[in-house]
Amino acid sequence: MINTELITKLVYSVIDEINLELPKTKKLKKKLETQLYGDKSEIDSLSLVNIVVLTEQKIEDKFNISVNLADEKAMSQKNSPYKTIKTFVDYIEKSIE
Amino acid sequence: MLITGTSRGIGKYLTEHYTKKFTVIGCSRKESNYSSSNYTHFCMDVSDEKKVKELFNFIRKKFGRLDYLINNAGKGSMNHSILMPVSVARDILETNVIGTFLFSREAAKIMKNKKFGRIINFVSFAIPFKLEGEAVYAASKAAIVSLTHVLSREYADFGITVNAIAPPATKTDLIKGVQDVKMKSLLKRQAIHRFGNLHEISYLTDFLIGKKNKMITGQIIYMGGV
Repeated sequence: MINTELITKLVYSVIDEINLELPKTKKLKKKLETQLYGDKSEIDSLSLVNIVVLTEQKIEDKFNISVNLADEKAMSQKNSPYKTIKTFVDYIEKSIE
Repeated sequence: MLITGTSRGIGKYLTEHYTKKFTVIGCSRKESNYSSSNYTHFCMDVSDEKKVKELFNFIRKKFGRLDYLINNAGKGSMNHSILMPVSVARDILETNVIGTFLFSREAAKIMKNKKFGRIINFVSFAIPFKLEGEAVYAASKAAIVSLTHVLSREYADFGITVNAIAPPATKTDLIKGVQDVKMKSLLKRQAIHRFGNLHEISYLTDFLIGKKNKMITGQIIYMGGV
């Protein structure tokens, strides 16, 4: 059964891969409150795209579920599902329900 | 290589052309009567997101890469706008605009992993010629021009180029129902007053997908001269 813990683990494995390409000062912490999008985020939009796409691919590979994590509120400062790792995990959980 | 709209016309020709060099995945609403050990065909609607994602999952899992995408699938319908049912208008927009958008989006997700990709879209001389009877078709192709411009910028950092070709008037099924007089007047408006040949189109696609072609992106090439 796919639960929050499994999804969080999967997102952290994505963060590990993305961190390989980020400079030391910009590496993302594997914490639920880490900002992925918005004023306090350390990463640029390309890294965010990479996180979303890699997460989609890992979900497909690990859970055999085809999922589309594109969202119309992606660039909303208030409601972006990519705002923090926690909002992203919640959003994934809803998307694959 | 992935080509859409491979059951006939330019798409079928390009499939035959490129299976000589590459593994080609093709799709169309209809079955294809072309067979080659280098070719796999999918029957699908290019605007069906679920099916499109399944196709790209197949490509990613089987090959782990995608170098080239040719968004050739297109639908047209010659009709005065007052006489055009909205269902037909929607179908044209879904196939031409949504299909091109969906395939480009999913292709970029795979291409960016290798930091290399070439996307070629198909537009039409119906845009600059402002062809009467082609209002929705021309509008859909104008949308693809915009997609080409914007996607070329969004995908540049991933090593992906995005260009568009407006093929010359070519004797394919798409113009089968167009009156001779109308075709003659169209040819007069091109700088080169003759039908194009399919090998002239593949000459251009060969050039655009070339690995040495790293600086040409966001361009719309009107063959035959507009």
